[in-house]
Amino acid sequence: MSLPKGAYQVLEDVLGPENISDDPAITTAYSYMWLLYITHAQSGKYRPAAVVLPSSTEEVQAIIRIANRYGFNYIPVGSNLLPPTIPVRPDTIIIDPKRMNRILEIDEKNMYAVVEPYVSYAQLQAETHKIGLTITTPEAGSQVSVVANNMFQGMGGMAHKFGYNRGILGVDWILPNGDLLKIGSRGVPNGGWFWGDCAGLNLKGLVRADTGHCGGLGMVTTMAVKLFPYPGPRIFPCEGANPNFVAKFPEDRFKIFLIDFPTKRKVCDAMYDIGHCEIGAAVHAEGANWMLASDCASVEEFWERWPDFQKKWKNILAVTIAGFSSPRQVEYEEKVLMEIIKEHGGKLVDEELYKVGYNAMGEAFRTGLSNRLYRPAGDFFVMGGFGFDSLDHTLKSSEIFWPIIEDAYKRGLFVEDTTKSDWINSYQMGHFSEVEPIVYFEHDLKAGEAFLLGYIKTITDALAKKMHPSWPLGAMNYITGPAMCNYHELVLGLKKLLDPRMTSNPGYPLPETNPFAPPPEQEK
Amino acid sequence: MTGLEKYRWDLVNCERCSMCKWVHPWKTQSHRFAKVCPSVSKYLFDAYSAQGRFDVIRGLLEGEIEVTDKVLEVIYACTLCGGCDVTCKFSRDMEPLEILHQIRIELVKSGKGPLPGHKAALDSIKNYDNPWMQPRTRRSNWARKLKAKDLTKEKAKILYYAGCTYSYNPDLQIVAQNTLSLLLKSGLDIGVLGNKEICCASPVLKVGEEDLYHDFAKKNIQTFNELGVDMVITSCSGCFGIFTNHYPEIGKMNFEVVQGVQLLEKLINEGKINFRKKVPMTVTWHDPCHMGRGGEPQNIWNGTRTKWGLSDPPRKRNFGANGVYDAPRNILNAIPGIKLAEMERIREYSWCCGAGGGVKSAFPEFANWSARERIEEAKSTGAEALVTACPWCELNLGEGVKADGDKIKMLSLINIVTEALGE
Ligand SMILES: Cc1cc2nc3c(=O)[nH]c(=O)nc-3n(C[C@@H](O)[C@@H](O)[C@H](O)COP(=O)(O)OP(=O)(O)OC[C@H]3O[C@@H](n4cnc5c(N)ncnc54)[C@H](O)[C@@H]3O)c2cc1C
Ligand code: SF4
Ligand code: SF4
Repeated sequence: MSLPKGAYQVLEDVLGPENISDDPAITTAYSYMWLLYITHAQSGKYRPAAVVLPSSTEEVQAIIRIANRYGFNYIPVGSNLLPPTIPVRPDTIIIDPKRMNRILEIDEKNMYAVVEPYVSYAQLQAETHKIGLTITTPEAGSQVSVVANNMFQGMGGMAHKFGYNRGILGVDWILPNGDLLKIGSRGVPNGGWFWGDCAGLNLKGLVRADTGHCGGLGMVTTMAVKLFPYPGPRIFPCEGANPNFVAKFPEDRFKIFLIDFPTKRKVCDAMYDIGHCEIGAAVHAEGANWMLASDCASVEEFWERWPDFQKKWKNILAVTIAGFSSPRQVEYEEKVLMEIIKEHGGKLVDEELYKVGYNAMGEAFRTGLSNRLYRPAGDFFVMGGFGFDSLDHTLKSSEIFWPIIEDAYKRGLFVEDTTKSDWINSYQMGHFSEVEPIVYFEHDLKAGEAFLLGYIKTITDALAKKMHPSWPLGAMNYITGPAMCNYHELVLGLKKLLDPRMTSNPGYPLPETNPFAPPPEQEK
Repeated sequence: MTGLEKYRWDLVNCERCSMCKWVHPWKTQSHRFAKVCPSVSKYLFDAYSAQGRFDVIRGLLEGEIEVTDKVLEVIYACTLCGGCDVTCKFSRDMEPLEILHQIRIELVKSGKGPLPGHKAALDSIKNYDNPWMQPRTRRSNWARKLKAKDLTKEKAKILYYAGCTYSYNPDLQIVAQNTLSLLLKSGLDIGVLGNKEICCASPVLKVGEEDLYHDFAKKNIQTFNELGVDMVITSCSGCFGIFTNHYPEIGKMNFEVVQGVQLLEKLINEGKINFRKKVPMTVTWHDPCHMGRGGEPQNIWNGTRTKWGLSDPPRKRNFGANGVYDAPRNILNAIPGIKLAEMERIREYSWCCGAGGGVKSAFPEFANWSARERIEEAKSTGAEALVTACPWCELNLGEGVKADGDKIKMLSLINIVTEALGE
């Protein structure tokens, strides 16, 4: 848990003594992770060797060069929500970007913002809303880092309308060898930040690819992100006091419809048609457990309401309509939506359920409720999912996931859920989709094991049916790779090329060796 | 560390969402004033947030780390303002503020806490019943010219409890004087304890000296009960917060506790106070932590966490929204000429002045930094004055205002009220 001799001093010389610490009182705060604890029971095993607080691209570059020279590992982090931000190897430092917290530019005309890694979505949106622009925010919450989220999944509530992770424009990126690489229009002299792609070789895919490299390929120090029109109020229209908030938008520009369909199939058919007609700002089938959790101020309240709520909330689609161009857009889209609802046998929910789901509209524009996902049992996660493909694929995936989940809740490990709480998302006008079955479990090793093994089974079951599997994190790429043109070899090749000393969050995007491989045969 | 065992569920279930570092996203109005935790905003390392302190405490409980000077610094460089408590509880069934109090109690029990910087005030409270090293005999001097009943000798319905700082600080005594004088003129049956008044012991609890705090709290509750008063009024938000939010678990209180501003608002509503003079000024209101989110009535709970984290018996939690927020605003709005310009971080999301939790004495530079942050926010509203109703806030923000070149005035609400009365 300590740095190679001399390395600390060199880092301190670059950063100043107040911006580096290897004291356990400091590093312990970067060593514990809820999900790691249950899945690997290894939290606290590796405290970071130090935590550093750079203030600029140059300082990040210096840190990464020093790591290469002295041979220690580093993990760039944003707000630290995800398991890959916790060291699972010795000699690892955390690059905490709290001093890199500036919005460098908001270009109203060209609709983009340039941010450093510790700018949160709520901060950025608060500024862009003042000029009628917005950015979509993830269910991870608007307190997370814009840069880190874009480096990871970057999928927000408005991806139906604004596109799935299409927001990355110009990027300044310190490669694992310490070189500064400028991506998109940044790569062209005086090109500015406005464009994500560039003439010739387009390296944007390398910045994050499908679901990001989890800090395994250096650190992005500045990113330009695309902004979109926003017809809402300057200040987020939140009424009420903690813990009872309601986001009330002007009704001539914003409406939410909660529609009850007879089956999940019908939900997806309606989602297809909504996409074909190019209406809707945010379109999600909302899982019962998550919807109720978002409306509850305590775990006790959840459990009091859950038995009855399960009977009422099934196959419900939430469609938020926004009048980006004018109030007439709302009128038009509402008419079209009503036709679609009729065609697929849907009906608008009653007032009681409408009240519960109403805040899904606010959540679509600025996530703020999503940490209530943890409320029902302490821990939650998505059991399989993120298999980005068509809406039909989403339905088939759900059929794979639920028997695995049911098995765990029958063993008392997960919360029982007869509604099969799928969160089904439409992206890019229904052109593609993904499903996230939300499961709840307690913070214990048995439940964690059931989750981890279950998740892997969702992958292997999908692969057996030649389907796009659940999203593989780290080592799981060794399971999915062979079924998908051995892409994992290409990824590993890139990792070795760009990070020959394997210092940038080793283990990501995937570890050097396959942990699932059978042990080599022993010589007789 | 046995007192922390009951919080194990909270400690292991913290999901690192970081909500405790920020104002709730739906309440965020700008990039500049988006944060709620002064400690992590100043020191930057996660260890200085509720999330990080949870990790440190969990690490101590599990024997991963030991108490060192740095651990003490991490634990004590926190104003116990409760910003994290409000923002965490929005989504999680946890008690960050209770845990931050409890770890200090445990550190004291194990002989490691508090910090040397806290010693002078603690000794003074032990020896003189006040943290300012002032003799008991001078405690009542502030009230000499007022004709309030001496409750050690006669009965009244209401006790005015001035608190140590308003009693002794020559610059702030005027607050207690103006308040009491106004209440007397309104015809209330009110008295004081004179030199027999003792510290509420809030500063004692805040640094973790639980036994000493218990002694003072028990004594105060007994005295107030024996006086037979219906109501205890205090102008000090620190005293108010400790009376409402901590005393109830110490013993039965046969009296109501009221912040001075609440009573003032009532008197205005009843037409017993009439403003005669215009006070043409734009002001902004600073919600003191212990009058706001820390001024909620305490919900006492002794129980356990069962399956799925349910609390048994079901726990009623404090969310911070039921503090005293409307009264000062209504008073300001009732004063002719006053224009109230709100800051962004208000009510349960108020930014702490920086003085609480023993920070002023142990980490003066941090206290000053936090004050300067608030002053920036106050100035951004265009207000000419920053108004509050807490001696700690007023002292600390006042120092910040001075260091900032007096670009905004620091005022006590009662002093504006007195001016508007035209007396
Ligand atoms: C409850 C929950 C809901 C979620 N919902 C969504 C969702 O709807 N949409 C979505 O997109 N994501 C979602 N996620 C995933 C998610 O946590 C993130 O995408 C998220 O934004 C993390 O932000 P962070 O600031 O905490 O990043 P961190 O956790 O700090 O970092 C995320 C990863 O990116 C790496 N990284 C961070 N900064 C940099 C950098 N500057 N350069 C290079 N690498 C970097 C880190 O090493 C880490 O591996 C969810 C997660 C949870 C727990
Ligand atoms: S808000 Fe609560 S759960 Fe979230 S990181 Fe802070 S302490 Fe942990
Ligand atoms: S009590 Fe205040 S200073 Fe302490 S951790 Fe919570 S928000 Fe930060």
